[in-house]
Amino acid sequence: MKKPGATGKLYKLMFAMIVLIVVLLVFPYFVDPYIVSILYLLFIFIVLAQTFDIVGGYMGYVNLGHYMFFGIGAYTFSILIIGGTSIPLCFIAAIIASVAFAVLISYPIFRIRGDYFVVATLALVVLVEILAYNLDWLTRGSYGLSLPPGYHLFSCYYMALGLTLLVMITKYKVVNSKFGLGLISIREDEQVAEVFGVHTFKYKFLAFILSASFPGMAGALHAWYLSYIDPPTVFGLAVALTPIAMTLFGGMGTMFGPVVGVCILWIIEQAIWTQTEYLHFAMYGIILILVGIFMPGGVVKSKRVQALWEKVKGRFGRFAA
Amino acid sequence: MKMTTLYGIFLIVVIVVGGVGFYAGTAFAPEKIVEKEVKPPRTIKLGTTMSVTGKYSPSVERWTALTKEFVKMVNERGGIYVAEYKTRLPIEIVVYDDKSVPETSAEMIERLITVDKVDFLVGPDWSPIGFAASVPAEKNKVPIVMANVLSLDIYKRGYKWIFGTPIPCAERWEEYYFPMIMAQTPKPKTIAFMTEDLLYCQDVRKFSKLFAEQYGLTIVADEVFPSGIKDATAMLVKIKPLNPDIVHICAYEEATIVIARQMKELDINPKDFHSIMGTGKAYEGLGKLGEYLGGTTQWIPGSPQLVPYIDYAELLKRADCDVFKYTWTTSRMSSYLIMLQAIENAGTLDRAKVRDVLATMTFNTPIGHVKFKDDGLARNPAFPGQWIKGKFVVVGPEAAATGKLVYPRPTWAQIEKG
Amino acid sequence: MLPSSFIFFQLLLGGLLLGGIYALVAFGLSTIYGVAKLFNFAHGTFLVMAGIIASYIYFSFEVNPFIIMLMVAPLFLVVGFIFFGFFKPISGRSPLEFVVGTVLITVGLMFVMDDVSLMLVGGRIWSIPYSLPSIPIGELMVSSTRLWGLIAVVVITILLSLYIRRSYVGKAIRAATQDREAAMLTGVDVSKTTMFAFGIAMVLVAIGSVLYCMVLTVAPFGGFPMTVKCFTIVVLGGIGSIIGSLVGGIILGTSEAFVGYYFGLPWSEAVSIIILLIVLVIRPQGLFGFR
Repeated sequence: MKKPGATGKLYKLMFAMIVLIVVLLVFPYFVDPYIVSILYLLFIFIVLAQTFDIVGGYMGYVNLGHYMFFGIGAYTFSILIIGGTSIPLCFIAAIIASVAFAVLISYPIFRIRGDYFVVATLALVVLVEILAYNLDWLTRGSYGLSLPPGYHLFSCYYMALGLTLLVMITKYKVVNSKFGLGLISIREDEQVAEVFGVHTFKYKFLAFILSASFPGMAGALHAWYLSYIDPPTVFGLAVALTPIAMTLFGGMGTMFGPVVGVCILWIIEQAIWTQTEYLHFAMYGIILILVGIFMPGGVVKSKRVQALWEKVKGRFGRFAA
Repeated sequence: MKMTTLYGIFLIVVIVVGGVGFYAGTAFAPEKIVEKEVKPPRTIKLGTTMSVTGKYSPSVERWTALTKEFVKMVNERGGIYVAEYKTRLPIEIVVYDDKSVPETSAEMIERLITVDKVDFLVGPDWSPIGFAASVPAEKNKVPIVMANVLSLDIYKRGYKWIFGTPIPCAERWEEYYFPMIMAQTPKPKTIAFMTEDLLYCQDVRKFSKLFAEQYGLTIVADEVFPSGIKDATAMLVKIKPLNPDIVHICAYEEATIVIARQMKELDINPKDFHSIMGTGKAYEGLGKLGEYLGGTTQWIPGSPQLVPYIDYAELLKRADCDVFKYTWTTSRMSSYLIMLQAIENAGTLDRAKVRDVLATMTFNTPIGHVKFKDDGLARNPAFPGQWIKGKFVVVGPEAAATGKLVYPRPTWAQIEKG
Repeated sequence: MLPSSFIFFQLLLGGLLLGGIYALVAFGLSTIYGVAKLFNFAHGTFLVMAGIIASYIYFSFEVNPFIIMLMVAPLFLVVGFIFFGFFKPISGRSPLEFVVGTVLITVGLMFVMDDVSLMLVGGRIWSIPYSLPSIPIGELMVSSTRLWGLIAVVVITILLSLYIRRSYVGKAIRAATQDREAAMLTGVDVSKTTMFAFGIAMVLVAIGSVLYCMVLTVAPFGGFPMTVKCFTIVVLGGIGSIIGSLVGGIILGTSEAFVGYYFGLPWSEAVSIIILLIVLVIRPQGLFGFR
């Protein structure tokens, strides 16, 4: 088999991606709405996972409260749409709200380092949930917000698809740019990075607000999809840790790790759920434990998986990320 | 081609996809309602989600077994007569675990409709879950009779395909409690409310307060506390000096237990202590202190049954389901029975026709007649009771009572001694 | 009208005593983090498991709770050792991988324990309804259960501090907490020490759970909020400091009580988090921490 040059590989990858995108574009017209809704949810998780990874995997700041941007976007969107604002404006407002929140907390939160940052961000998402309950003049507290009903599965699907593509491209650009190198240098050794002229705070700030914008949009989209949200639905710990666990499972700090993690765990979840009555969480937990012990870098980075991938590459001469 | 140009093109494609998708989706989305073929004799397929795991699971424990036994019993007796097929058809109920998460329930409902291709939906339970689950049902025009879903907001959305039979509904929850308690001597004058900050508790509180005012009680305290509360001292310290005659708790069992214990610690002794979830679980958890706890029950074992297709008492026995432990069982069973009656009455499995029957007919359930109002919500009351010597005694209304309320309630110190 | 001093003292007492129980539960988390630098997300879930076992014993055999404590303690010592075993394989990995691994393992364990316990013992609400009469002091009511809890905590704190300071194992644990590599250099078997620390931590959780169940309730899937509270206490008090955790617990309990009174209970839940965030930003090593 001819060994393709670098540009050749890139074109092959591009071609594969375009094919995939076209398939995803026409998919909904040929399958059950249920499958469409599953894919839609998959996209939402991918968006969350990838944005989490930028700050967590590349910059080394594990933001367990990442989901809060999602919830803020969802609530902003819902409050405005119930008030009668036009839909596109609501989406834009949602993005602005979560970015604004990120800006607000970035200064204090980045004074906290390492393990403490992990705990602090977890505490933040719990706090935001409490605020959602208590500020009931704004959020209707435990009653939740009921959006004007309507069936827009297809719109949601396409928008989620578009959002996912945007996230993937953004991540690709970040990873392969000077900005990305800066993030990695912060992860490896922040003090040294400072010494070498990396404006650590500026980088942290930018990465943070970037990682907040997409979930804000995703949250708004999801609220629109569900037609009803309440504090536990968009801030609850049960759901908040899921995309993060998926990313950790798939492989942090890699281009496709989070996607792999999301897809595999998602398929497993769907398969397990409907087959057995009990022990879904337990099986999920066992998988997490096994990965934690044997492949803590994540599936994508584990040596065994990489060895397997090499074999596959050898067979088909494809370019792996 | 330069890389930047390529990316630029990609970016444009993406934005176009997003934008076009938005408008295309809204304009051209096909009405993907799964078509039902009318084929000769088949099974009536019902679908539901249950909170087998997660925070509502304690109340749901025996319901998987109960559902299985229900299906067995109905089929043993021949199934449901559907005029369209000129024969009796067996039934099947597909159950998914919604993990007590509204979103999951909505997803599973979607799946039940499109993948499992159920004819109709029954359940789920609990207001937040009902809120989310009703959306796909309505979108796909599948009639759904929800069970313990009482929050009024759910029914105010103008949905046509959803129905709910919570027992009791928020408006009538304490309907029999207040006249009963006001008939006691010495007549109570003051009442203190403590409510858990959750959708369903807040709804019941709203109406209970109305009843209190209606019957001339003075509301001396109206506290709201967050779910998962550990220390109620801040609240109780305000209540103690007021010495209310009645302490009324709108909360789940866990909070009821915590508050009861702390009331005992602070030696707050009302003449009546009543919780909307004064269920068997609360009684169990309180041990000795559970005596004289006031609660509610949906159904009184031994009351005449007018229900078709099954023997309710026998069903409960087969599934080993104690209605005092699993207080909300009857509501769920009613949703099953109502759906089956609607099908039989409509004589067809056509969803629109069954939906019309649901909206207009009066149904037989273990608690009596149920008719849905215009908004789809059935409004039924329940029976107040008190735990006396380990048994739940129904204390009102007079016609239904199985015993007398112990009033005024002994003090905590006396209860502890036994 | 009762004087407002009644309210003040009643709140103080309530918070103090509950805080003591929180602290006891948090000791375990502090120890584990100090020695192994890992945050145990399943901490609250271990509490729930111990509570369910203790509660089950109580309901089945009517044993005095203080005796139950003596029963569950050795059981959880072993549990601690087993728990340690999960982390042994990844102890040598890079820091980021270690963090990831521990998060995955502890979250996974949390799910497994919750689900299995749910399936085995079902949806009962577990607690120990063993109640003692309250002690009236003037107009104040002092809860005996909580008082015993506080006494137990103080006693344990003293014993534990002594043990940490005097015994070889205790010193080894302190050494490993302060500087793992240096400890290894001085001949401390860090691995075994860590295992012991885990065991002790779990024993503390087990004892704490009995007291916890006497005042509050536990149920499968209810552990995580308690874990978050423990994080707060540990950070507030300072990593590795037993006294710190005690003080942290008490501060938390009392501020929750007072905030609940003056601002309404819905805000008392926010207290622990706001305290945590403030401490992390201003003084990450907490009140008594090492670093």
